[in-house]
Amino acid sequence: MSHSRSVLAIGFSCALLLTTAACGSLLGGGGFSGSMGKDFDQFDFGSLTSPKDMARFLVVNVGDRVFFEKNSSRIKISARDIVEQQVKFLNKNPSATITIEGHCDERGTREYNLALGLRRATALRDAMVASGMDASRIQVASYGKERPVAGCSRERCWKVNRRSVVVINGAS
Amino acid sequence: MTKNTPNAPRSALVSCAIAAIFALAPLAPPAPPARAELEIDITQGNVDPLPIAVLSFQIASDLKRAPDAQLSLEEEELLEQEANMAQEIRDVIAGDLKRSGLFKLLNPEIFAEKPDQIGEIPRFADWRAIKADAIIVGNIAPRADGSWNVSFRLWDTYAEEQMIGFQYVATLLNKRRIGHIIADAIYQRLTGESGYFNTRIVFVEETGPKNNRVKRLSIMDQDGYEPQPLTDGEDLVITPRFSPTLQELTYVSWVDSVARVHLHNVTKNIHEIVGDFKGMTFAPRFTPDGNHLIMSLARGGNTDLYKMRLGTRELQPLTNTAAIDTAPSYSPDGKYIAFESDRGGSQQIYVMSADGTNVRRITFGEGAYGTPVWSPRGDLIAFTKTYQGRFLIGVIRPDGTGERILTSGYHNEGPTWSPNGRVILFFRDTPGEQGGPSIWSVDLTGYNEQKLSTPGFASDPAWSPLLEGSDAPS
Repeated sequence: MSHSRSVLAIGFSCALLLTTAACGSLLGGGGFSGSMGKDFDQFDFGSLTSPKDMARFLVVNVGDRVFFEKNSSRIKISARDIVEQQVKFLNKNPSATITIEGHCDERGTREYNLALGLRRATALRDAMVASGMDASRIQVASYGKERPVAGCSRERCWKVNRRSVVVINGAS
Repeated sequence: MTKNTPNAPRSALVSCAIAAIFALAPLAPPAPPARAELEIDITQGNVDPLPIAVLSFQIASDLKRAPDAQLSLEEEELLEQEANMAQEIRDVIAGDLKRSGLFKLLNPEIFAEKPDQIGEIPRFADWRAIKADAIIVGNIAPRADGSWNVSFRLWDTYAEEQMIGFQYVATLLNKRRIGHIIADAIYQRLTGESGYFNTRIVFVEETGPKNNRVKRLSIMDQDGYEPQPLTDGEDLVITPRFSPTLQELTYVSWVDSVARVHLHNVTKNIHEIVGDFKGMTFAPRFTPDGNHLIMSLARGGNTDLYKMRLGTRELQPLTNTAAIDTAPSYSPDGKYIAFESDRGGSQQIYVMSADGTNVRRITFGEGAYGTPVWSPRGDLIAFTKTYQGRFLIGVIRPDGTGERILTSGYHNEGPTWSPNGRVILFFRDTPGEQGGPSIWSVDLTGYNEQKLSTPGFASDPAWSPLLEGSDAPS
């Protein structure tokens, strides 16, 4: 358990750093799987009006994505917290609808990766619905291996490319 | 929903009919056969390339024959046009034959006879002396209507006879096509199999950084000549494929972040989304009759195969499993479908009857198998295999026997067949931030691997059927 706490702590400090430099990264289509950790319940999610504000808040303070193992669409146990936070945030902003985009690393064939990306998006949707999100607010989509965030051909890049990302509709 | 293509191609896929082709009668009475007829066995991997001389095409123009004639500016231009055409047709033929790997093109500097001095009958002994097994001699002659008669003869220097000779009508627009048609005729005469030079390749042209690639559909001749964009790059596009009728392409593009199958009508130059499905549609291919599409349709996050009649948009489900079923490809007779599925726990290739029954797995080797593509000859299925971190292109018989790897490396993917089933195109990606794909060809023998020339990164090649005009007259 101490191990997982330290992971969360790192996630938290990165999230704080990001708040200062968030805008540039948002415009670049980037994002962050931040985590509020145990401070989550004390955090005021507020109610945001514009999709853009919601998207920014989601990326910086909640985390808009979860990551996957190779050729897997299972939501990792370590990602469950973030899914719950995403749902809590979205349920505080009930006007928002979302598209979950599933993505893959480059180490697969194009069409298989499209299907795998959809599985990943659907896995996150199912987890969000199980955490209390209304399924009708969620659309799933896949980009397969077409939209990597990291370009190197090493596991450190592939593991951040294997992801499902929550996108607030109307934010871009 | 349709929209016009912003960048209209300069010429349609099938531009103009190749008119007035006829066979040339042999100039010499056939000599008694000096040896077995010249032929190339293309089923052998280590075939010795056939030494061949392709002479510059000669211009039979009245203008040229008068050395002291005062030519008008127009006449000068016409002469230059003719000279360029003669050279271009010759170079197209020589290029096709050379790239096939079956021919060794002799250097014009050692030719036994100069192209402008060669008589009606070549001096065969002199050509044999420089070890030319075959020679190609051609002419172009202006016609009254502003087009040209282009003729060629293929001579066997040992048998001392004409193997074939044809004449075509060429214009400035179709001169390269005439060259490819002549190369196909020579290939067919010497190998006994139809050629593949008078064809085009549709592919995805890629620009920009890896994390923000711009992808455009593009089309070019088989030899890489003159790629023309078909889409503007605003929407992400992947996996184009030809209709057997050549009038349409199908491909996948994203609409409101959902991947959808599209049709591109080549003659009308319009794009169209196929069907109004809630889920993502992808991995489309035409049926061999061109009247249907087969594709993957995702419902509830699960991917199955469907067949859609293009006229009515009526859908017929073909698989219904909790697995990923995708990348379908018909056998050329339309009776079977090869596809990939992870229903057995990993990505493998399956074959089923066209109605979705009699499903059987055909790949059992180590690693994962995907992207099955049925050969136009029906005897083999090409695939992409992933094994020990490498991506390989291979072929296997539809019954699952005879697996053979043609090429391997960091990343090879997406085979497509030449219309005669003898050559495979695929794309090869290189690793790293600056890496990117290019299109390569490899012979079915596993030999003669070559990179196609494209302006930048290029992926997802699809080889067209033979274009109009390729059937040799009988």
